[in-house]
Amino acid sequence: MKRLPAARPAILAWAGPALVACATMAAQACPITDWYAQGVADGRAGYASDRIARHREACPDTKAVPDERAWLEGRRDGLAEYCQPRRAVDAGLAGRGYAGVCRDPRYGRLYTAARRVHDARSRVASIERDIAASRRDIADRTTSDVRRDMLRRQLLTLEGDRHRALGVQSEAQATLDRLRQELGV
Amino acid sequence: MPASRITPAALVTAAAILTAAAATPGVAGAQAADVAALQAREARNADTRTLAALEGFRQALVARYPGDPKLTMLEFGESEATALVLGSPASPPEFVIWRGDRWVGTESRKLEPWARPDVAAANAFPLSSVRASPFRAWQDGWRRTPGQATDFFMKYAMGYDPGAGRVVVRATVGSMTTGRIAEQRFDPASGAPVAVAAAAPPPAPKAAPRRSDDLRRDVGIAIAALRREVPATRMGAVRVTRGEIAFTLADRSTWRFDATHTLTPGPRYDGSFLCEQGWSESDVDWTVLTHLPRNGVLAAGLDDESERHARFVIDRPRDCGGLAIEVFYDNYRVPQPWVRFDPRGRLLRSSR
Repeated sequence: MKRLPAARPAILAWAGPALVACATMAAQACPITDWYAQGVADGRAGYASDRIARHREACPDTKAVPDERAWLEGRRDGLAEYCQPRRAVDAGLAGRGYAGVCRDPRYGRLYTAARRVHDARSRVASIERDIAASRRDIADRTTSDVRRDMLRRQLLTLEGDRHRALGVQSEAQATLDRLRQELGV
Repeated sequence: MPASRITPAALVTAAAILTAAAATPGVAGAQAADVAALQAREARNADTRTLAALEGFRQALVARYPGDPKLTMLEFGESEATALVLGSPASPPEFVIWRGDRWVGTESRKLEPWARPDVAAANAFPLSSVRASPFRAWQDGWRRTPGQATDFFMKYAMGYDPGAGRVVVRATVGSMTTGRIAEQRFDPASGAPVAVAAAAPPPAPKAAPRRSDDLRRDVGIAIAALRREVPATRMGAVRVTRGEIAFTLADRSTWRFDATHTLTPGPRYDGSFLCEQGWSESDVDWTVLTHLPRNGVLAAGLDDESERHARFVIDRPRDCGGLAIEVFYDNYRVPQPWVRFDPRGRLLRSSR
Protein backbone atom coordinates (compact mmCIF):
# COMPACT_ATOMS: atom_id res chain seq x y z
CA MET A 1 0.00 0.00 0.00
CA LYS A 2 1.27 3.45 -0.86
CA ARG A 3 1.91 5.97 1.86
CA LEU A 4 -1.11 8.17 2.22
CA PRO A 5 -0.62 11.84 1.50
CA ALA A 6 -1.12 14.14 4.48
CA ALA A 7 -2.34 17.28 2.75
CA ARG A 8 -2.63 18.71 -0.73
CA PRO A 9 -2.37 22.50 -0.57
CA ALA A 10 -2.63 22.95 -4.35
CA ILE A 11 -5.89 21.07 -4.48
CA LEU A 12 -7.28 22.62 -1.33
CA ALA A 13 -6.74 26.02 -2.87
CA TRP A 14 -9.31 25.11 -5.50
CA ALA A 15 -11.83 23.80 -3.03
CA GLY A 16 -13.57 27.15 -2.53
CA PRO A 17 -14.55 27.81 -6.14
CA ALA A 18 -15.38 24.15 -6.56
CA LEU A 19 -17.93 24.30 -3.78
CA VAL A 20 -19.46 27.43 -5.23
CA ALA A 21 -19.81 25.78 -8.63
CA CYS A 22 -21.28 22.58 -7.13
CA ALA A 23 -18.68 20.59 -9.06
CA THR A 24 -16.27 18.20 -7.38
CA MET A 25 -13.40 20.48 -8.40
CA ALA A 26 -12.66 23.48 -10.57
CA ALA A 27 -11.78 22.62 -14.15
CA GLN A 28 -8.45 24.44 -13.76
CA ALA A 29 -7.48 21.97 -11.04
CA CYS A 30 -7.86 18.92 -13.27
CA PRO A 31 -4.42 19.01 -14.96
CA ILE A 32 -2.60 19.40 -11.63
CA THR A 33 -4.65 16.95 -9.64
CA ASP A 34 -2.85 14.00 -8.13
CA TRP A 35 -5.57 11.46 -8.82
CA TYR A 36 -4.21 8.96 -6.33
CA ALA A 37 -4.34 11.63 -3.61
CA GLN A 38 -7.81 12.67 -4.72
CA GLY A 39 -8.87 9.04 -4.45
CA VAL A 40 -7.44 8.82 -0.93
CA ALA A 41 -9.36 11.94 0.07
CA ASP A 42 -12.58 10.63 -1.43
CA GLY A 43 -12.04 7.26 0.23
CA ARG A 44 -11.45 8.90 3.60
CA ALA A 45 -14.73 10.75 3.11
CA GLY A 46 -16.53 7.50 2.29
CA TYR A 47 -17.58 8.39 -1.24
CA ALA A 48 -18.99 5.67 -3.48
CA SER A 49 -17.12 4.75 -6.64
CA ASP A 50 -19.49 6.71 -8.86
CA ARG A 51 -17.82 9.83 -7.48
CA ILE A 52 -15.35 9.45 -10.36
CA ALA A 53 -18.16 10.25 -12.79
CA ARG A 54 -18.63 13.58 -11.02
CA HIS A 55 -14.90 14.29 -11.32
CA ARG A 56 -15.12 13.48 -15.02
CA GLU A 57 -17.95 15.97 -15.42
CA ALA A 58 -15.86 18.57 -13.62
CA CYS A 59 -12.94 17.93 -15.98
CA PRO A 60 -14.39 18.22 -19.49
CA ASP A 61 -11.03 18.91 -21.11
CA THR A 62 -9.89 15.74 -22.84
CA LYS A 63 -6.28 16.52 -21.94
CA ALA A 64 -6.98 16.40 -18.22
CA VAL A 65 -9.24 13.39 -17.81
CA PRO A 66 -9.11 11.73 -14.41
CA ASP A 67 -6.72 8.81 -14.09
CA GLU A 68 -9.33 6.30 -12.98
CA ARG A 69 -6.95 3.54 -11.97
CA ALA A 70 -4.91 5.89 -9.78
CA TRP A 71 -8.09 7.33 -8.27
CA LEU A 72 -9.49 3.87 -7.55
CA GLU A 73 -6.25 2.73 -5.93
CA GLY A 74 -6.21 5.87 -3.81
CA ARG A 75 -9.86 5.50 -2.86
CA ARG A 76 -9.25 1.97 -1.71
CA ASP A 77 -6.43 3.16 0.55
CA GLY A 78 -8.61 5.99 1.83
CA LEU A 79 -11.44 3.57 2.54
CA ALA A 80 -9.10 1.48 4.65
CA GLU A 81 -9.05 4.41 7.08
CA TYR A 82 -12.70 5.33 6.71
CA CYS A 83 -13.96 1.81 7.27
CA GLN A 84 -12.51 1.30 10.74
CA PRO A 85 -15.43 0.15 12.95
CA ARG A 86 -14.90 2.80 15.65
CA ARG A 87 -15.41 5.43 12.96
CA ALA A 88 -18.75 3.85 12.13
CA VAL A 89 -19.95 4.77 15.61
CA ASP A 90 -18.69 8.35 15.27
CA ALA A 91 -20.29 8.71 11.83
CA GLY A 92 -23.61 7.30 13.00
CA LEU A 93 -23.79 9.37 16.19
CA ALA A 94 -22.94 12.50 14.18
CA GLY A 95 -25.75 11.72 11.74
CA ARG A 96 -23.46 11.57 8.74
CA GLY A 97 -24.47 9.54 5.70
CA TYR A 98 -23.07 6.16 4.74
CA ALA A 99 -22.81 4.99 1.11
CA GLY A 100 -22.37 1.30 1.95
CA VAL A 101 -18.76 1.30 0.84
CA CYS A 102 -17.15 -0.81 3.56
CA ARG A 103 -16.50 -4.50 3.09
CA ASP A 104 -16.28 -5.14 6.82
CA PRO A 105 -19.86 -6.01 7.82
CA ARG A 106 -19.20 -4.69 11.35
CA TYR A 107 -19.07 -1.18 9.94
CA GLY A 108 -22.59 -1.34 8.58
CA ARG A 109 -24.02 -2.87 11.78
CA LEU A 110 -22.32 -0.34 14.04
CA TYR A 111 -23.23 2.56 11.79
CA THR A 112 -26.88 1.53 11.70
CA ALA A 113 -27.05 1.14 15.48
CA ALA A 114 -25.27 4.45 16.10
CA ARG A 115 -27.38 6.25 13.54
CA ARG A 116 -30.50 4.99 15.33
CA VAL A 117 -29.21 6.58 18.52
CA HIS A 118 -28.57 9.83 16.67
CA ASP A 119 -32.05 9.83 15.15
CA ALA A 120 -33.65 9.08 18.52
CA ARG A 121 -31.69 11.90 20.16
CA SER A 122 -32.73 14.25 17.37
CA ARG A 123 -36.36 13.27 17.88
CA VAL A 124 -36.14 13.93 21.63
CA ALA A 125 -34.43 17.28 21.03
CA SER A 126 -37.06 18.26 18.48
CA ILE A 127 -39.91 17.44 20.90
CA GLU A 128 -38.18 19.34 23.69
CA ARG A 129 -37.92 22.38 21.47
CA ASP A 130 -41.65 22.17 20.77
CA ILE A 131 -42.38 21.79 24.50
CA ALA A 132 -40.27 24.84 25.32
CA ALA A 133 -42.02 26.86 22.63
CA SER A 134 -45.45 25.83 23.92
CA ARG A 135 -44.50 26.76 27.48
CA ARG A 136 -43.26 30.14 26.31
CA ASP A 137 -46.52 30.80 24.52
CA ILE A 138 -48.58 29.71 27.53
CA ALA A 139 -46.59 32.07 29.78
CA ASP A 140 -46.99 34.93 27.35
CA ARG A 141 -49.64 37.32 28.70
CA THR A 142 -50.75 38.28 25.21
CA THR A 143 -51.78 34.71 24.39
CA SER A 144 -55.56 34.35 24.29
CA ASP A 145 -57.31 31.99 26.67
CA VAL A 146 -58.58 29.86 23.83
CA ARG A 147 -55.09 29.41 22.39
CA ARG A 148 -53.60 28.87 25.86
CA ASP A 149 -56.08 26.06 26.44
CA MET A 150 -55.15 24.49 23.10
CA LEU A 151 -51.44 24.80 23.93
CA ARG A 152 -51.94 23.07 27.28
CA ARG A 153 -53.59 20.12 25.55
CA GLN A 154 -50.79 20.08 22.99
CA LEU A 155 -48.24 20.15 25.80
CA LEU A 156 -49.74 17.03 27.31
CA THR A 157 -49.42 15.26 23.93
CA LEU A 158 -45.81 16.45 23.56
CA GLU A 159 -44.90 15.23 27.03
CA GLY A 160 -46.24 11.82 26.06
CA ASP A 161 -44.26 11.92 22.80
CA ARG A 162 -41.12 12.90 24.70
CA HIS A 163 -41.57 10.05 27.14
CA ARG A 164 -41.89 7.55 24.28
CA ALA A 165 -38.98 9.10 22.35
CA LEU A 166 -36.76 8.85 25.44
CA GLY A 167 -37.69 5.20 25.65
CA VAL A 168 -36.69 4.67 22.02
CA GLN A 169 -33.45 6.56 22.60
CA SER A 170 -32.63 4.52 25.64
CA GLU A 171 -33.34 1.28 23.78
CA ALA A 172 -31.21 2.41 20.80
CA GLN A 173 -28.35 3.34 23.12
CA ALA A 174 -28.55 -0.04 24.87
CA THR A 175 -28.53 -1.83 21.51
CA LEU A 176 -25.47 0.13 20.43
CA ASP A 177 -23.68 -0.57 23.72
CA ARG A 178 -24.38 -4.29 23.41
CA LEU A 179 -23.16 -4.32 19.83
CA ARG A 180 -19.98 -2.45 20.69
CA GLN A 181 -19.33 -4.95 23.44
CA GLU A 182 -20.04 -7.88 21.13
CA LEU A 183 -17.76 -6.55 18.40
CA GLY A 184 -15.09 -5.26 20.75
CA VAL A 185 -15.30 -1.67 19.52
CA MET B 1 4.76 -4.17 -26.29
CA PRO B 2 1.84 -1.99 -25.25
CA ALA B 3 -1.60 -3.04 -26.34
CA SER B 4 -3.62 -0.41 -28.15
CA ARG B 5 -7.20 0.28 -29.04
CA ILE B 6 -8.89 -1.60 -31.88
CA THR B 7 -10.22 1.09 -34.18
CA PRO B 8 -13.53 0.63 -35.93
CA ALA B 9 -12.00 0.95 -39.38
CA ALA B 10 -9.37 -1.60 -38.51
CA LEU B 11 -11.90 -4.11 -37.32
CA VAL B 12 -14.01 -3.66 -40.40
CA THR B 13 -10.99 -4.07 -42.64
CA ALA B 14 -9.74 -7.09 -40.74
CA ALA B 15 -13.15 -8.65 -41.00
CA ALA B 16 -13.23 -7.78 -44.69
CA ILE B 17 -9.96 -9.60 -45.25
CA LEU B 18 -11.32 -12.69 -43.60
CA THR B 19 -14.63 -12.36 -45.42
CA ALA B 20 -12.87 -11.97 -48.73
CA ALA B 21 -10.77 -15.00 -47.97
CA ALA B 22 -13.77 -17.13 -47.15
CA ALA B 23 -15.85 -15.86 -50.05
CA THR B 24 -13.27 -16.49 -52.73
CA PRO B 25 -14.44 -19.36 -54.99
CA GLY B 26 -12.71 -22.62 -54.36
CA VAL B 27 -11.44 -21.70 -50.93
CA ALA B 28 -14.21 -23.23 -48.87
CA GLY B 29 -12.82 -26.69 -49.27
CA ALA B 30 -9.22 -25.74 -49.32
CA GLN B 31 -6.73 -26.78 -46.71
CA ALA B 32 -5.86 -24.45 -43.83
CA ALA B 33 -2.51 -23.71 -45.43
CA ASP B 34 -4.24 -22.45 -48.56
CA VAL B 35 -6.47 -20.21 -46.48
CA ALA B 36 -3.44 -18.84 -44.66
CA ALA B 37 -1.72 -18.14 -47.97
CA LEU B 38 -4.80 -16.37 -49.21
CA GLN B 39 -5.00 -14.29 -46.03
CA ALA B 40 -1.31 -13.45 -46.35
CA ARG B 41 -1.86 -12.28 -49.92
CA GLU B 42 -4.82 -10.16 -48.87
CA ALA B 43 -2.72 -8.67 -46.11
CA ARG B 44 0.00 -7.73 -48.61
CA ASN B 45 -2.63 -6.17 -50.86
CA ALA B 46 -3.79 -4.10 -47.89
CA ASP B 47 -0.15 -3.01 -47.33
CA THR B 48 0.07 -1.87 -50.93
CA ARG B 49 -3.17 0.07 -50.70
CA THR B 50 -2.03 1.73 -47.47
CA LEU B 51 1.28 2.84 -48.96
CA ALA B 52 -0.56 4.11 -52.04
CA ALA B 53 -2.79 6.11 -49.69
CA LEU B 54 0.35 7.52 -48.07
CA GLU B 55 1.67 8.62 -51.45
CA GLY B 56 -1.67 10.29 -52.24
CA PHE B 57 -1.49 12.15 -48.95
CA ARG B 58 2.10 13.23 -49.63
CA GLN B 59 1.08 14.73 -52.95
CA ALA B 60 -1.89 16.49 -51.38
CA LEU B 61 0.35 17.98 -48.69
CA VAL B 62 2.88 19.19 -51.26
CA ALA B 63 0.07 20.84 -53.24
CA ARG B 64 -1.31 22.50 -50.12
CA TYR B 65 2.01 23.45 -48.51
CA PRO B 66 4.53 24.32 -51.22
CA GLY B 67 8.15 23.38 -50.55
CA ASP B 68 8.94 20.70 -48.02
CA PRO B 69 6.58 21.24 -45.08
CA LYS B 70 7.55 20.07 -41.63
CA LEU B 71 5.32 17.79 -39.61
CA THR B 72 5.17 17.14 -35.90
CA MET B 73 2.88 14.13 -36.32
CA LEU B 74 1.69 11.96 -39.16
CA GLU B 75 -0.86 9.20 -38.87
CA PHE B 76 -2.30 7.17 -41.70
CA GLY B 77 -4.09 4.00 -42.62
CA GLU B 78 -5.72 2.63 -45.70
CA SER B 79 -8.59 5.10 -45.84
CA GLU B 80 -7.48 8.20 -44.03
CA ALA B 81 -4.38 10.21 -43.23
CA THR B 82 -3.90 13.01 -40.74
CA ALA B 83 -1.00 15.29 -39.90
CA LEU B 84 0.10 18.21 -37.79
CA VAL B 85 1.78 20.58 -40.23
CA LEU B 86 4.12 23.19 -38.83
CA GLY B 87 3.72 26.53 -40.64
CA SER B 88 6.39 28.28 -38.58
CA PRO B 89 8.23 27.36 -35.40
CA ALA B 90 6.35 30.08 -33.52
CA SER B 91 2.80 29.14 -34.51
CA PRO B 92 0.94 26.02 -33.51
CA PRO B 93 0.80 23.26 -36.11
CA GLU B 94 -2.21 22.97 -38.38
CA PHE B 95 -4.22 19.77 -38.07
CA VAL B 96 -5.32 18.37 -41.43
CA ILE B 97 -7.23 15.27 -42.48
CA TRP B 98 -7.16 13.71 -45.94
CA ARG B 99 -9.75 11.06 -46.71
CA GLY B 100 -9.84 9.27 -50.04
CA ASP B 101 -9.12 12.13 -52.43
CA ARG B 102 -10.08 15.23 -50.50
CA TRP B 103 -9.52 17.24 -47.36
CA VAL B 104 -12.19 16.85 -44.69
CA GLY B 105 -13.08 18.89 -41.62
CA THR B 106 -11.27 18.40 -38.33
CA GLU B 107 -14.23 19.14 -36.05
CA SER B 108 -14.38 16.83 -33.04
CA ARG B 109 -11.11 15.24 -34.08
CA LYS B 110 -7.73 15.48 -32.48
CA LEU B 111 -4.17 14.45 -33.22
CA GLU B 112 -1.68 14.86 -30.43
CA PRO B 113 2.09 14.64 -30.67
CA TRP B 114 3.68 12.09 -28.34
CA ALA B 115 6.01 14.72 -26.90
CA ARG B 116 5.22 18.12 -25.40
CA PRO B 117 4.24 20.52 -28.21
CA ASP B 118 7.46 22.53 -27.93
CA VAL B 119 9.57 19.38 -27.98
CA ALA B 120 7.60 18.00 -30.91
CA ALA B 121 8.02 21.29 -32.81
CA ALA B 122 11.75 21.28 -32.17
CA ASN B 123 11.94 17.76 -33.58
CA ALA B 124 9.57 18.24 -36.52
CA PHE B 125 10.48 16.16 -39.54
CA PRO B 126 10.29 17.23 -43.21
CA LEU B 127 7.67 15.62 -45.41
CA SER B 128 10.45 14.50 -47.75
CA SER B 129 11.71 12.18 -44.99
CA VAL B 130 8.49 10.19 -45.18
CA ARG B 131 9.24 7.57 -47.82
CA ALA B 132 7.37 4.38 -48.65
CA SER B 133 10.44 2.17 -49.03
CA PRO B 134 11.34 1.95 -45.29
CA PHE B 135 7.72 1.09 -44.52
CA ARG B 136 7.83 -1.65 -47.13
CA ALA B 137 11.15 -2.91 -45.74
CA TRP B 138 9.71 -3.09 -42.23
CA GLN B 139 6.57 -4.84 -43.50
CA ASP B 140 8.67 -7.41 -45.36
CA GLY B 141 10.76 -8.09 -42.29
CA TRP B 142 7.72 -8.42 -40.06
CA ARG B 143 5.91 -10.80 -42.37
CA ARG B 144 8.94 -13.06 -42.73
CA THR B 145 8.57 -14.07 -39.06
CA PRO B 146 6.58 -17.31 -38.78
CA GLY B 147 2.97 -16.73 -37.78
CA GLN B 148 3.00 -13.05 -38.74
CA ALA B 149 2.43 -13.25 -42.48
CA THR B 150 -1.31 -12.68 -42.08
CA ASP B 151 -1.04 -9.88 -39.52
CA PHE B 152 -2.96 -6.74 -40.24
CA PHE B 153 -1.31 -3.32 -40.02
CA MET B 154 -4.10 -1.08 -38.81
CA LYS B 155 -2.36 2.25 -38.88
CA TYR B 156 1.02 3.94 -38.79
CA ALA B 157 1.92 6.98 -36.73
CA MET B 158 5.16 8.91 -37.11
CA GLY B 159 6.55 11.54 -34.81
CA TYR B 160 9.11 12.36 -32.18
CA ASP B 161 9.00 9.63 -29.55
CA PRO B 162 10.32 10.86 -26.17
CA GLY B 163 10.91 7.29 -25.04
CA ALA B 164 13.13 6.56 -28.00
CA GLY B 165 14.61 10.08 -28.13
CA ARG B 166 14.11 10.28 -31.89
CA VAL B 167 11.53 10.31 -34.66
CA VAL B 168 10.05 6.84 -35.04
CA VAL B 169 7.14 5.12 -36.69
CA ARG B 170 4.70 3.22 -34.50
CA ALA B 171 2.78 0.57 -36.40
CA THR B 172 -0.40 -0.80 -34.85
CA VAL B 173 -0.43 -4.49 -35.62
CA GLY B 174 -3.43 -6.76 -35.28
CA SER B 175 -2.62 -10.43 -35.15
CA MET B 176 -5.06 -12.54 -37.12
CA THR B 177 -3.67 -15.57 -35.27
CA THR B 178 -4.16 -14.45 -31.67
CA GLY B 179 -6.54 -11.52 -32.09
CA ARG B 180 -4.23 -9.26 -30.09
CA ILE B 181 -3.34 -5.72 -30.95
CA ALA B 182 0.15 -4.33 -30.36
CA GLU B 183 2.38 -1.44 -31.33
CA GLN B 184 5.74 -1.84 -33.05
CA ARG B 185 8.33 0.91 -33.47
CA PHE B 186 10.68 1.26 -36.41
CA ASP B 187 13.06 3.74 -37.94
CA PRO B 188 11.39 5.79 -40.69
CA ALA B 189 14.69 6.07 -42.57
CA SER B 190 15.59 2.40 -42.73
CA GLY B 191 12.61 0.37 -41.55
CA ALA B 192 14.78 -1.24 -38.87
CA PRO B 193 12.98 -2.03 -35.58
CA VAL B 194 13.58 0.44 -32.77
CA ALA B 195 13.89 -0.88 -29.24
CA VAL B 196 12.78 1.35 -26.38
CA ALA B 197 14.15 0.54 -22.95
CA ALA B 198 10.93 1.43 -21.16
CA ALA B 199 8.79 -0.68 -23.44
CA ALA B 200 7.16 -3.76 -22.03
CA PRO B 201 8.74 -7.11 -22.88
CA PRO B 202 7.65 -8.69 -26.16
CA PRO B 203 4.85 -11.20 -26.01
CA ALA B 204 5.44 -14.89 -25.80
CA PRO B 205 5.78 -16.66 -29.14
CA LYS B 206 2.44 -17.16 -30.78
CA ALA B 207 0.93 -20.57 -30.45
CA ALA B 208 0.06 -22.10 -33.75
CA PRO B 209 -3.13 -23.91 -32.77
CA ARG B 210 -6.19 -21.74 -32.59
CA ARG B 211 -7.11 -22.53 -29.01
CA SER B 212 -7.36 -20.45 -25.87
CA ASP B 213 -7.63 -21.01 -22.13
CA ASP B 214 -9.00 -17.50 -21.63
CA LEU B 215 -11.29 -16.12 -24.29
CA ARG B 216 -11.54 -12.78 -22.50
CA ARG B 217 -8.36 -11.89 -24.38
CA ASP B 218 -9.70 -13.06 -27.74
CA VAL B 219 -12.72 -10.87 -28.31
CA GLY B 220 -11.14 -9.30 -31.40
CA ILE B 221 -10.65 -12.62 -33.10
CA ALA B 222 -14.14 -13.75 -32.12
CA ILE B 223 -15.68 -10.65 -33.68
CA ALA B 224 -13.64 -11.18 -36.84
CA ALA B 225 -14.93 -14.76 -37.00
CA LEU B 226 -18.49 -13.57 -36.45
CA ARG B 227 -18.22 -10.95 -39.16
CA ARG B 228 -16.98 -13.57 -41.61
CA GLU B 229 -20.30 -15.36 -41.10
CA VAL B 230 -22.58 -12.37 -40.48
CA PRO B 231 -21.06 -9.29 -42.09
CA ALA B 232 -23.64 -6.64 -41.35
CA THR B 233 -26.22 -7.48 -38.66
CA ARG B 234 -25.87 -5.21 -35.65
CA MET B 235 -24.88 -6.54 -32.27
CA GLY B 236 -27.49 -7.11 -29.56
CA ALA B 237 -25.45 -8.42 -26.65
CA VAL B 238 -22.00 -9.91 -26.17
CA ARG B 239 -21.24 -12.08 -23.16
CA VAL B 240 -17.61 -12.84 -22.56
CA THR B 241 -16.37 -15.45 -20.11
CA ARG B 242 -13.10 -17.28 -19.78
CA GLY B 243 -14.45 -20.25 -21.73
CA GLU B 244 -16.98 -18.80 -24.14
CA ILE B 245 -18.01 -15.71 -26.04
CA ALA B 246 -21.73 -15.59 -26.80
CA PHE B 247 -23.17 -13.19 -29.36
CA THR B 248 -26.83 -12.24 -29.57
CA LEU B 249 -27.43 -10.14 -32.65
CA ALA B 250 -30.10 -7.51 -33.07
CA ASP B 251 -32.07 -9.87 -35.34
CA ARG B 252 -32.17 -12.34 -32.35
CA SER B 253 -29.82 -14.85 -33.95
CA THR B 254 -27.18 -16.21 -31.57
CA TRP B 255 -23.63 -17.42 -32.01
CA ARG B 256 -21.17 -19.09 -29.70
CA PHE B 257 -17.39 -18.82 -29.96
CA ASP B 258 -15.63 -21.48 -27.91
CA ALA B 259 -12.14 -22.27 -26.65
CA THR B 260 -11.26 -24.08 -29.88
CA HIS B 261 -11.98 -20.80 -31.68
CA THR B 262 -14.94 -22.36 -33.39
CA LEU B 263 -18.00 -20.24 -34.08
CA THR B 264 -21.32 -22.07 -34.04
CA PRO B 265 -24.88 -20.79 -34.48
CA GLY B 266 -27.27 -21.18 -31.56
CA PRO B 267 -31.02 -21.06 -31.04
CA ARG B 268 -32.89 -17.87 -31.72
CA TYR B 269 -33.19 -15.62 -28.66
CA ASP B 270 -36.84 -15.15 -27.74
CA GLY B 271 -36.39 -13.26 -24.46
CA SER B 272 -37.31 -9.65 -23.83
CA PHE B 273 -33.91 -8.39 -22.67
CA LEU B 274 -32.80 -7.08 -26.03
CA CYS B 275 -32.65 -3.67 -27.69
CA GLU B 276 -33.63 -4.50 -31.23
CA GLN B 277 -31.97 -1.35 -32.57
CA GLY B 278 -28.71 -3.03 -31.65
CA TRP B 279 -25.32 -1.36 -31.66
CA SER B 280 -22.10 -1.49 -33.61
CA GLU B 281 -18.94 -3.17 -32.38
CA SER B 282 -17.07 -0.03 -33.36
CA ASP B 283 -18.94 1.75 -30.53
CA VAL B 284 -16.85 -0.23 -28.02
CA ASP B 285 -13.18 0.10 -27.22
CA TRP B 286 -12.56 -3.63 -26.87
CA THR B 287 -8.98 -3.22 -25.68
CA VAL B 288 -10.19 -1.81 -22.35
CA LEU B 289 -11.60 -5.20 -21.36
CA THR B 290 -8.17 -6.17 -20.10
CA HIS B 291 -8.17 -3.28 -17.58
CA LEU B 292 -11.73 -3.48 -16.36
CA PRO B 293 -11.55 -6.49 -14.02
CA ARG B 294 -8.97 -4.67 -11.88
CA ASN B 295 -10.85 -1.37 -11.97
CA GLY B 296 -14.01 -3.24 -11.07
CA VAL B 297 -12.36 -4.94 -8.11
CA LEU B 298 -11.21 -1.56 -6.83
CA ALA B 299 -14.54 0.12 -7.46
CA ALA B 300 -16.63 -2.57 -5.77
CA GLY B 301 -14.14 -3.19 -2.97
CA LEU B 302 -13.59 -6.86 -3.80
CA ASP B 303 -10.67 -9.19 -3.14
CA ASP B 304 -7.84 -9.03 -5.67
CA GLU B 305 -8.51 -12.73 -6.25
CA SER B 306 -11.81 -11.75 -7.89
CA GLU B 307 -10.06 -10.30 -10.95
CA ARG B 308 -9.66 -13.65 -12.64
CA HIS B 309 -13.33 -14.47 -12.11
CA ALA B 310 -14.56 -11.46 -14.06
CA ARG B 311 -16.97 -11.89 -16.94
CA PHE B 312 -18.37 -9.20 -19.23
CA VAL B 313 -21.77 -8.37 -20.62
CA ILE B 314 -21.84 -5.67 -23.30
CA ASP B 315 -25.31 -4.59 -24.31
CA ARG B 316 -27.97 -1.90 -24.29
CA PRO B 317 -31.00 -2.13 -22.01
CA ARG B 318 -34.21 -3.28 -23.61
CA ASP B 319 -35.48 0.30 -23.75
CA CYS B 320 -32.45 0.97 -25.98
CA GLY B 321 -30.66 3.22 -23.50
CA GLY B 322 -26.92 3.71 -23.50
CA LEU B 323 -24.50 0.95 -24.37
CA ALA B 324 -22.54 -0.26 -21.34
CA ILE B 325 -19.94 -2.81 -20.36
CA GLU B 326 -20.86 -4.62 -17.17
CA VAL B 327 -18.36 -6.70 -15.26
CA PHE B 328 -19.63 -9.45 -12.96
CA TYR B 329 -17.59 -11.56 -10.59
CA ASP B 330 -18.44 -15.25 -10.70
CA ASN B 331 -16.66 -16.11 -7.45
CA TYR B 332 -19.58 -14.55 -5.56
CA ARG B 333 -23.03 -16.00 -5.04
CA VAL B 334 -26.02 -14.34 -6.68
CA PRO B 335 -26.59 -11.41 -6.51
CA GLN B 336 -23.05 -11.10 -7.73
CA PRO B 337 -21.22 -7.80 -7.40
CA TRP B 338 -21.16 -5.82 -10.63
CA VAL B 339 -19.49 -2.74 -11.98
CA ARG B 340 -20.75 -0.75 -14.95
CA PHE B 341 -18.50 1.07 -17.41
CA ASP B 342 -19.24 3.09 -20.51
CA PRO B 343 -18.15 1.71 -23.93
CA ARG B 344 -14.78 3.47 -23.55
CA GLY B 345 -14.11 1.77 -20.22
CA ARG B 346 -14.92 4.72 -17.96
CA LEU B 347 -16.41 3.78 -14.62
CA LEU B 348 -20.07 4.66 -14.20
CA ARG B 349 -21.14 2.90 -11.02
CA SER B 350 -20.87 -0.28 -9.05
CA SER B 351 -23.12 -2.48 -6.97
CA ARG B 352 -21.44 -1.09 -3.83
